[in-house]
Amino acid sequence: MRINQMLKQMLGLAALTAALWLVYLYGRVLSSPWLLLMWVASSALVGLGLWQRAKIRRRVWLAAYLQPGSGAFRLLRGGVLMALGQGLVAIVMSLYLLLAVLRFEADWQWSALLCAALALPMLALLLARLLQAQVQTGFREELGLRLALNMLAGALLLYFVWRALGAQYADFRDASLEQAVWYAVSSEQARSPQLMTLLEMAAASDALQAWLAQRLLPKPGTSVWQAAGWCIVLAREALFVWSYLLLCRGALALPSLLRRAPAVNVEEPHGLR
Amino acid sequence: MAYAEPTIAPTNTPQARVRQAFLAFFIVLVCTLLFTQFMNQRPRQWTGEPVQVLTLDEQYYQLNRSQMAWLESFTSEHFSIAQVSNRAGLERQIDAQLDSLFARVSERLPLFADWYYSLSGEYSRMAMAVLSSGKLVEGDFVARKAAEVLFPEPVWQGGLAQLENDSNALILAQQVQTRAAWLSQVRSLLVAQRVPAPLPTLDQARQGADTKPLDALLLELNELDALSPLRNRVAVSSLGAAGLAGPALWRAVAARNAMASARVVAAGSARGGSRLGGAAAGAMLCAPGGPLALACAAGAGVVTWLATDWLLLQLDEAWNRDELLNHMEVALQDLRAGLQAELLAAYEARLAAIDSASQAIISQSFSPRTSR
Repeated sequence: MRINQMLKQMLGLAALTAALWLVYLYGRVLSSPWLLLMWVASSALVGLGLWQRAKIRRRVWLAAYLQPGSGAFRLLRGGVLMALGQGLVAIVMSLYLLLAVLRFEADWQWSALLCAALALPMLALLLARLLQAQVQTGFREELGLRLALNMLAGALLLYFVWRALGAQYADFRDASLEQAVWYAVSSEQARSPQLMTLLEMAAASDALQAWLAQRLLPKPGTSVWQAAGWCIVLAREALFVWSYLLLCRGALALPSLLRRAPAVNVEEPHGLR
Repeated sequence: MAYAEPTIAPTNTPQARVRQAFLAFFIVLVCTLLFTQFMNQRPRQWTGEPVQVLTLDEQYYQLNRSQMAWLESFTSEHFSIAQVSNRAGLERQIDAQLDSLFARVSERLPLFADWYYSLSGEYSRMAMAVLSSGKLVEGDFVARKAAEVLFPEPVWQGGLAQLENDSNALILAQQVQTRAAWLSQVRSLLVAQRVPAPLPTLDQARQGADTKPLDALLLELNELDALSPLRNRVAVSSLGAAGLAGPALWRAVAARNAMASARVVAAGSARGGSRLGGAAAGAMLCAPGGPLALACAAGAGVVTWLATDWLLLQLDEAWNRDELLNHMEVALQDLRAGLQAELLAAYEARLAAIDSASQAIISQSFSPRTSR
C-alpha cells in the first residue's frame, strides 16, 4: 500500500463523512425520493463492503477445503445468493445508520466519525507494514484493513459508550411510559412521512429505553437489569459503529470494483493449497 | 482468474512527494473546514403542520389546523342547531300552557254573561254611566268588571307566573342538555386524538403555551345560564299585566261587532222607555186610593219598573247572550294570539342573545390569538 493511495483513501472517506453529515443536515427537509436515493446509495456501499468481506472469507474457505482445479470453486465462489443475503443485511444496516445519523444531537459525534475515517487508511497501512513479515502478500492489505476496522470499531464503541454515560437525558422519573414515549415521538419532525414514521419509531424505542433505565436502574439489587440495560446501549452503539465502518469499507472497495480487479485472489498463487 | 499485481508507482520522486504534500494539505484543509462546520451548522428542521393541544376533563387531545377548524365549525353548528330546536320546544310549551290558561278563562265567560244580564249588572252599569258622565268615575266599568270576572288574580296571574317559570326552566334544561350533548359528542370524536398529559418539566416550552382548555369554554357557556330566565316579564307585558287583559278583551268585543253593540244600546234604551211606561201604568192603578194613593203609586211604580226591567233583560238575554259569548270567545282567541306573539318575541330575543353570546365565546375560544 502506498502513501499516495492512503491519502486518496483518506480524502475519499472524508468526503463520505461529509456526505453523511449533509444527510444529517438536510435529511429532515428532503422528500421521500431523495431519501430513498440516499438509502439505496448507502445500502450499495455497505453491501459492497459486506459482499467483499464475505467473498474473501468464502475464497479462503474454498482454498482450504477444495482440491486445486475443482469445479466447485466456480460453483461456490459466491454469486446471486450471497449478494442477496449481504444486500438484505446492508439494507437494514444502512437504514439504521441513516436513522442514527439523522438523530445525532451533538457535534462530537461527527468529529469522532471524521477522525475514524481519517485514521482507517493510515492504520490499515501501518498494520499492513507491521504484518509484512508474517502475512502472505495477497492478504496483507486485507488483513491490515480488517484489523484496522476492528481496532477502530472498538475505539469508537468505547468512545460512544463513554459519551453515552455522561450524556444528559430527559428526566422521565415522574413520567408514565406513555408520557415518555409521546414526548419523544412528538419531538420528531420530518418532511417525508415515511422518514417521520421511522424517526418516531426510533424515538419511541429510545424513550422506552430511557424510561426503563430511569425506573429500574437506580434501584439497588437490580444488577441483572443494569447489565441488560448496558447491553442494549452497547449493542446499539456497536451496530451503528459497525454500519459506519462497513460503509467506509465499501467506499474503499469501490475503486477496485470500478477497475474490475479483485481485492484479493486466494485461488491460485498464495500458497493456501 | 489470475491475480494481477498492481503497478506500484514510485513514491520517492520529488514530483510524487510534492503531489503527496499537496494532497495532504488539501485533506487538512478539507478536514479543518469540516470540523468548523460541524461546530457551526445545525440540522435544518422541518416545521410540520402546527398542532394544538386541547384539554377536556383533564384529558389531552392533539389536533392539527384542519381538525381544529372542523371542531370549531362543529361546535358552532351544534349550538346553532340546538337553539333552533330549543326554540321550537319552547314554542310548543308556551302554546300548551296558553291553551290551558285561556281554557280556564273561557270557562268563566258564562259567569260574565250572567252578571251582564242580571238586574244588579244592569243597575250598576247605569249607575256607573251616570257617575262617569258626571266625571266622578273614570274608565269603562264593564271592562273592569270583565277583568274582575274573567281574569281573577289567582287564575290569570298565577297561570302567567307558572308559564314564565316553566319557560325559564325549560330554557335552562335545554341549555344544559345542549352542552351535555356537545360534550358527549366531542369526547367520542376526540378519542382518536387523545395524547398523554405533557410533562411539566419538559413540555413547558414546547406545548404548554399552546394548550387550550375546552373546560374553560364550557364554563363560559355555563355562565350564559344567567342570561336565560325572564324575570316577571310576562306579568308586566302589555297583555298579561293585571287589569289590562279584561279591558282589552271588552274593547275587542265592542269593536268586533258594532252592530251588536248598537243592538245592546237599543235594548237598553227600549228598556228605559218600557220602565217609564210600566211605572206610569202602576201609578194609575192607585189613583182611587185617596190619601194613600201617592205612596201606593210610588210602590206600584217601583215594582212595575223592576218587573219590567227583569222581563226585558230576560228577553235581551234570550236574544243576545249566545252572540255576546261568541264575540267574547273570538276576542279571547285574539287576546291569546297577541299574548303568545308577545311572549314568543320576548323569548326569541333572549334566545337570540344566548345564541349570539355562545357563538362569540366559541369563536373567541378557538381563535389562535386568544390562546389561554
